[in-house]
Amino acid sequence: MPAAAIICWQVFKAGGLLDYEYLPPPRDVLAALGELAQSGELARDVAHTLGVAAISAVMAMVLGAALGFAIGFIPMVRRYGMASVDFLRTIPAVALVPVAVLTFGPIPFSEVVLATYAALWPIVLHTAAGVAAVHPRQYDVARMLHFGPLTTLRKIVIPAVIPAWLVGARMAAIIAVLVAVVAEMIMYPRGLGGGLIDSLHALAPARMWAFALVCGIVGALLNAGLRQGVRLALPGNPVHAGGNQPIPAPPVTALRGLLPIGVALIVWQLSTSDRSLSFPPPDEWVKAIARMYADGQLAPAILHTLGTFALGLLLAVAIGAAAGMAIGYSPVADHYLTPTIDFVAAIPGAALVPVAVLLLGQSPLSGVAVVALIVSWPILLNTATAMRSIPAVRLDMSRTMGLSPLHRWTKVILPSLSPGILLGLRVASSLAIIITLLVDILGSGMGIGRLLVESQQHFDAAAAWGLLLIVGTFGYVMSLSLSLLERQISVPVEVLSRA
Amino acid sequence: MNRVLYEVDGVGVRLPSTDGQRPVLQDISFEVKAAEIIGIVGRSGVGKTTLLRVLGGLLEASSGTVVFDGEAVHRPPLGAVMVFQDYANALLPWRTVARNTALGLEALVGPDDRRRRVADALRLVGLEDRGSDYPWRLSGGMAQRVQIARALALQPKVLLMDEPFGALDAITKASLQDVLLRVHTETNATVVFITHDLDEAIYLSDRVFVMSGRPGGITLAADTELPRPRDQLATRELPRYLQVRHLLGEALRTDDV
Repeated sequence: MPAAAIICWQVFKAGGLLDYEYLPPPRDVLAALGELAQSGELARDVAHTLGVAAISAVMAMVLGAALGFAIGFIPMVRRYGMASVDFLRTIPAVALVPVAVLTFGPIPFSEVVLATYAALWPIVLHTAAGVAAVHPRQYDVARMLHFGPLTTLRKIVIPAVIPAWLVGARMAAIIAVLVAVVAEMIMYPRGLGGGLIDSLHALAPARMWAFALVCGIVGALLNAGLRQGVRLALPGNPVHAGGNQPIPAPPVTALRGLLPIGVALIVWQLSTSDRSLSFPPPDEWVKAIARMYADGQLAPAILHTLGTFALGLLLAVAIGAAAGMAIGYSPVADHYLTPTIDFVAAIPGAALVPVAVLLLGQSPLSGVAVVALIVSWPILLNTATAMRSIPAVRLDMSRTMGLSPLHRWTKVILPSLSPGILLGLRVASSLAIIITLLVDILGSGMGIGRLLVESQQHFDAAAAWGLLLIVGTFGYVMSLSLSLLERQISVPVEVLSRA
Repeated sequence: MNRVLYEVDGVGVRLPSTDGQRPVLQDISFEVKAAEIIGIVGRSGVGKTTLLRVLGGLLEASSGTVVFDGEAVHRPPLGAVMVFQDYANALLPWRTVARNTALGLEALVGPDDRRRRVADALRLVGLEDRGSDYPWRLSGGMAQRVQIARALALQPKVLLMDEPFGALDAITKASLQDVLLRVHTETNATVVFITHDLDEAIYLSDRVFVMSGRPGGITLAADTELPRPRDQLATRELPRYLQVRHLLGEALRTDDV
């Protein structure tokens, strides 16, 4: 299937049927790839990106395990910390770049900090969920055998949590690559992200396609390798090894859990001076926000970014859900398309932004199209999975009950799919924030993304932190409302599977 | 004598397998009369479920004909409703018991009529006070009764049941068997059911079919000739009961592979 598409592409191009400057024929892409490989540039870039991602993933695995154990084990920490974790984990990495650059400088260290930060949260959440899921009976066993707290931890809890931790680690590695590429794109031109941006600026589409292809191959290999690794580490644990499941549905946490962030902000306010260049106190952030608002910059920027985000996400839901249903419904489509889809889905989404921007142009509307195109994948994958996993008995039931085809869809199939679509929407929404900001920066040059870049270029740390606060709050509110919606819809289903 | 509801003539089914089309059923012929209860027994993999799916119109026979109430079966016919063993997946978890029961009626009758028929169906299976509960609040026996109620609400001519009580414990099973017999007395519905349990087949049925062979066929059709109403203790102690049990046991034993 993909082979056929590529051959058509080459033939059309050669025959002059398809004449579009920024869509080079596959032969040119291959040639560019060969050049990059020969000059050693490719190996250097891949090594840089993977190196950063590897260091970050390992650090996140250690830190995340510690934090996850604290949250899962100590009720106080959970009660007063979980919402803070939710807030911090929903901050999109793009918004953190200016702050990191202004604090540490445009050096690899900043990249590692960013990637570690982003990779931390799936591990924290999975570890905490794993600790919480240790069966109470196993603690009874520990008490009966007179284990102390340390022995209990060592012999009961840690072995029970390792599977969840490993799943988190697999996701962390993938996120680390994504964030490394993003950071390279907007921070300093190194690695795969740097290569993509250089070729975008040099208007060298063949080279850019070559880089995007390499990103895809790296992503797919990493994904397959990690999955195999988890499978080897956990034989006979198909539930954890096979799934492509994202972060477990986060419980909606009490707002009192935001207390640590509040305390940290107050301490920060009291302990730093107004003059601090890299750590401006929070009241300076607010002043910077007010200043941007008074300049008449902030409101249109928010409107632009919000519009791109909302339209792109809506379009993505429509495309992704429809395509997912079609693929899950037809075994033929499933058979021929799924390998291609898995490959495209494994490309770190950010790597596709320059390619899509070059193809679709830089107008605000094409920004919406870019977001929709990249963000529809998680929705498509989750919808197709949900479609395939509708119990056969349920479909038979709808036929034997004499439901018309329309009623089969509205009363049985769509309600069965809605948890899957919502799950995809949750993943897509956090990806959409990142992609929207990237499109702002690389494409239209408008919106919040532009303000972020300007704050970095003008060394305006207060503005960078202020924008971070705005974007972070938006991400948190988005994730919170989606979780609420998900809980609303999936309560009976969830309890059923537990019973 | 009652009219004939099902006429099955020379039915064979081939299903796709790794090495091409594999015959699963071969040359099956029988009739089912209205208000009869038929039990089908046989070792697992012999094609009992396949046969039931053919009767329910969920699967088309590769050869032969199935006529239900005068019309050839090509899709699920009106008046034939299937009850599945896997009640957890056959009930919709996002609907309450009453709304699950109403599922098939929603396109057919108005709200008042619907409410009345749902209430009647739930009363028949003894769940009149559980209408507003969600399926996950129910025990397995209750969930299976909801499935039966949902089928009964459609006032079907025949209930096709695929190991309806196979997943339940012995005591629940016995009480549901009596629920089914009571429903049968009150509604005069025809019942065709599959079971692994020889005693269940004899206790409930007018006739018991034994399936065996590969591809599967009906090798014995035994009239139980047991009086109704039946009783869990008395019926099972009748000499005729033991006689039928012996006959069927022999037929199943020779099928050992």
